[in-house]
Amino acid sequence: MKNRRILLGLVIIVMTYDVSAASDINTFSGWKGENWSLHGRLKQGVSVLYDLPDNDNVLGPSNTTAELKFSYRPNNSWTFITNAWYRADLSPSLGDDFDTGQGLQDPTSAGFNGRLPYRLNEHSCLGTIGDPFCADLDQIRRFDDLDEVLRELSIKYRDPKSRYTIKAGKFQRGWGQSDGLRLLDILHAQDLRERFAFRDSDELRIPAWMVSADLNFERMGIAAPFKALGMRRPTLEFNFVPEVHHSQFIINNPTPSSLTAGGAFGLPFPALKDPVSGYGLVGIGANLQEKTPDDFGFRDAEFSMRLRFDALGGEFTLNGFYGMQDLPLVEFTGANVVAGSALNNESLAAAVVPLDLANAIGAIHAPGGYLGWLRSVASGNPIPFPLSDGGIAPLAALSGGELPNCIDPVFGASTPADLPCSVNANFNLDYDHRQKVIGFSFARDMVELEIGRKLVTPTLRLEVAYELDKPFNRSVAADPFVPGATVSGSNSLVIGPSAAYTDSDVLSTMIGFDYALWVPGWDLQKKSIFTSFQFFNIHTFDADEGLLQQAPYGFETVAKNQQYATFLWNMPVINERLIFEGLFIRDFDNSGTFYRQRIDFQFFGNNFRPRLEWMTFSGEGQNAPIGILDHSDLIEFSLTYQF
Amino acid sequence: MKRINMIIAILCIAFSTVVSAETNDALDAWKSYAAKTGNPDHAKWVDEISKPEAIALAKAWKELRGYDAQDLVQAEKLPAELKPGLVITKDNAGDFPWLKDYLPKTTYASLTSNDWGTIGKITIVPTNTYYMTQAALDSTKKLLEKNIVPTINEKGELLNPDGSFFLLNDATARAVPFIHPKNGMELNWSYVSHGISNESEFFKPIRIGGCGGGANAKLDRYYEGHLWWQKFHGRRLVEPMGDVPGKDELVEGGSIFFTEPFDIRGLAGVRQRYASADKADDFRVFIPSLRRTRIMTGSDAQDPIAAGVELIWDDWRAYWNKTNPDNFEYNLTGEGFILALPEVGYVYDAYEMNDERCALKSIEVELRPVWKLEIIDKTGKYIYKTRTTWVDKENYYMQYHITTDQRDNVMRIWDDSRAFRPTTGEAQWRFVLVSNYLSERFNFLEMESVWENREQLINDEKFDVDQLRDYR
Repeated sequence: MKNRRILLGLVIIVMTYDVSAASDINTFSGWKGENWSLHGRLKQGVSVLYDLPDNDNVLGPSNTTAELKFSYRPNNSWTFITNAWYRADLSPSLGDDFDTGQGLQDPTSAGFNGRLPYRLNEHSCLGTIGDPFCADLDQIRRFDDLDEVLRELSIKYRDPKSRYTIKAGKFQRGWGQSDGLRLLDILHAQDLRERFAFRDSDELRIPAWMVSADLNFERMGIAAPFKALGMRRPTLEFNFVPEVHHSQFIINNPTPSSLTAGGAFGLPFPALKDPVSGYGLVGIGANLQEKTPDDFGFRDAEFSMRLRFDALGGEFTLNGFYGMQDLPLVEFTGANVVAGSALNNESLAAAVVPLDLANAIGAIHAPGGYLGWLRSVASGNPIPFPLSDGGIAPLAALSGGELPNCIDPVFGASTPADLPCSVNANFNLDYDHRQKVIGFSFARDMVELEIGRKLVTPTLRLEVAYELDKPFNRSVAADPFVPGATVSGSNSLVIGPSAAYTDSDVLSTMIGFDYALWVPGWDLQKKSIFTSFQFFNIHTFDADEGLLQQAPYGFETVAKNQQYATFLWNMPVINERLIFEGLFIRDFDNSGTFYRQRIDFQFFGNNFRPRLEWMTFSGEGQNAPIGILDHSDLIEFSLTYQF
Repeated sequence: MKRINMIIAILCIAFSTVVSAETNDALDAWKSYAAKTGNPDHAKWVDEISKPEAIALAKAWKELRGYDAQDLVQAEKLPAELKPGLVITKDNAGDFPWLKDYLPKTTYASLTSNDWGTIGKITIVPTNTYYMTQAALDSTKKLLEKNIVPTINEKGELLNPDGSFFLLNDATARAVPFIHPKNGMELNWSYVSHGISNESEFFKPIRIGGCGGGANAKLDRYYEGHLWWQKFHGRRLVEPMGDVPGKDELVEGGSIFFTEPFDIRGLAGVRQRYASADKADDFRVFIPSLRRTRIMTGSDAQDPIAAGVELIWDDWRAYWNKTNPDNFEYNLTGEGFILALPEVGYVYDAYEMNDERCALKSIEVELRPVWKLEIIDKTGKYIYKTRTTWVDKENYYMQYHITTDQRDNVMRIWDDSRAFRPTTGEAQWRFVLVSNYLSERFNFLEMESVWENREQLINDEKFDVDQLRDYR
């Protein structure tokens, strides 16, 4: 509470800062010389989360960003750029703890479908059923690894005859015409830890060590064949990325042996549910590990190419990408029987008995196994708990007689020595899969369509991406023990990868229009309102086979045609000093809605940039990307000092 | 042999004597004026316009036009006090009732009655002679010699008799299409053809500032960037010569890369103009927060180039509105004289801003012979109902313009002092005043022109936004 008062005080100080002094433009603007410059910014935000379940308003992400950018251009051929940033979040230090309401399945709830508490920003909890799981937020406290700090370190060479350029180092490149959803903008993985995907895209992309070459066919004297095909000003971009990143996100995983927490924008640990019985998978936790491609080298390197040319009155690009997947598949590798802890805490257990993949699949799916037991409980005719005395694989047997059996949750302990038990499934987040995408984009000023108060024409944007053999986790997979039968939902993850994985081609299409809106009747309007509408259709060819959106956090199934619409507007008023910007996103298939309102106050000269930002999410719990953040609504005030 | 050498030597001496004895009325007036003021800037300017190349070029252009500015000034019956050296302030402006006839009403108001964007002092300097390059001269001469008369079709396009676009054809692209314009459309095209006057232009940097707040105005907007401009055809002075490869349909292009403030650093825009009336500008912007290029509509040129400044795309390089007789009426409404900022920025600044950079402490002005071009919006939908431009009779570039909104209120003005390079006839820009009289905002552009190595510095990179993004 004290911390909140301090923050409130800081905000008031900032808001009442002497405007006349701050608006003096003749302030510090970095260092610069004839051919070099050094500029930077310092940004501090403070936010309030107001839609958390079972919580009052709490301090939300309070991000700090310190950034420096140095550029040096000694002559017309060479450019050196260095850009570094340090990011941190003060909320772990200043904020109160809060409950996500997304712990493991609650054994005391009806059908085990309730969720135990999971308190974040709290490092000590009682470990009881009332306060079972908690985690501090160290993972978002600072992003200060050298790799995270260094945004760009590049050198670029331009041929004096403009035939080609080569850029090497660590940097990022953006492709495509779509904003928000990525179709062709896939050269870089994304850092989703601070605001998931709901921030400016250059802050999302994870820069990589790479080499890019741009060839100007016109200047090289080889444009004639392209021109003969109606392709004017052809240029070819080629990128070689030997360093492979995958997207960074943090799952709010309550499993004590794999505890991770990303705060309000940590991804929710999924509700685990047996679709056959409708009961929650009680007593099950998850240990998550990463399985990644080579960090650096040729074996897993990424290659991409883009041919850019003008045709049909607009600009075309033809794109090809041969890289690695940014997001993981979930690979079941086995399980740990946690003997002595009903709340999956391996550190408090009397023993942890590892089960290999085959035994783990058997313990879950085999007749008399975990799922059979759960369904028997649901039907009102319980069979013995599989690890208890009378179960198919009693703990005593699994441990070679070193341990007693598990307490049967229904029938109770058979001996006083029996232990409470739980099971942690072991998963790899498997990024080691190729991504193969071809596509094109087209953008054109629709000069034929002069409309509106000032006869302005809209700009058409079109982007199409075709991903071949995109890997998915199945939402419906073959039952490992019953030929011809299937398992679905959460159960389809706890099977061997050969059955759990599949792939499908995916065709993604975006059509968008930008339009500078001059409002009828608003004669004194000084600047147009920039508006941008986009419609997306993502067609997954084999969706009817049952595919998971994005395990382990997007647990809903993929629709055959997933459709989104976005609308962006930007309206500066008062001599463009007060700027309103709104972004609306609608996920039609999953009834998800997102809205972000930014208000920039540019009344304070060039050094200070205050901003108010409001983000609200509304959607169903396990739908990515909106539903999973249903409770992450926030209002943020930030102040940037730049020079 | 000895005899021949002697003859050559005598001829050389005679020729150099003739050249050094060459002068013109503008030079004489400036020599006299500089001697009186003792101002070293004025002396430097005299040095520059005294150079033989400058004198020769001035003379050649005078022969082509049939006059220079001094001829027209001397032929005019002017008020006796309207002479170089006259200093006018708010206090004595009333003593010169003729002043309103020679100063635009907005300038007069800034001198006498406004409480914002004021001008403290105006000093009249001698009338210069301004001209364009040797390449423009040669092209125009050929046009006349061959009796090539360009035409303007119903779409407003300027065409050669062979149907080619005047500004794309290597033979005509640098020429003045109408040396003696007979109507508004001809004057419009001579003005458009002047363009940036030269072939390649580079401002390093351009500073853009905006002030609001009336009498206590403070600079509340400030940007810095680098700006380039290139004419793509008929090039004779700066490499590449002839046509710039890959720009077959494009007349010219301008681009800008913002370096300050930090939140827009890296914002880059490239705008290129098609000769065809049917094609809107090719307008592409690199947005740093997206790290991506966006194609913007070429038809919305009525928005400010940057937030909070009065420079809109249709006003950059003074006049960028595409000729369109369907939407606009072009009238030559008169001719006369105007007191305007001299184009001496190559040597010195003819203006001094106050410490806040929100008003002018002093400016110099010179008397310029002009045509008055009035462009009237016929649609009722354009940001300006009228654009009244005083087009200089020597170089076909504007000296001043005033625009009005659809309710006939004065909206924006443009007054500039260019960096005219007398030895080559090129001109870049040094200072522009582009203020909004509705919102009472004083805006300036200040530019430092790069003259050397332009053939290397202004290349394809600057007109391809996907290359320009990595400029700095």
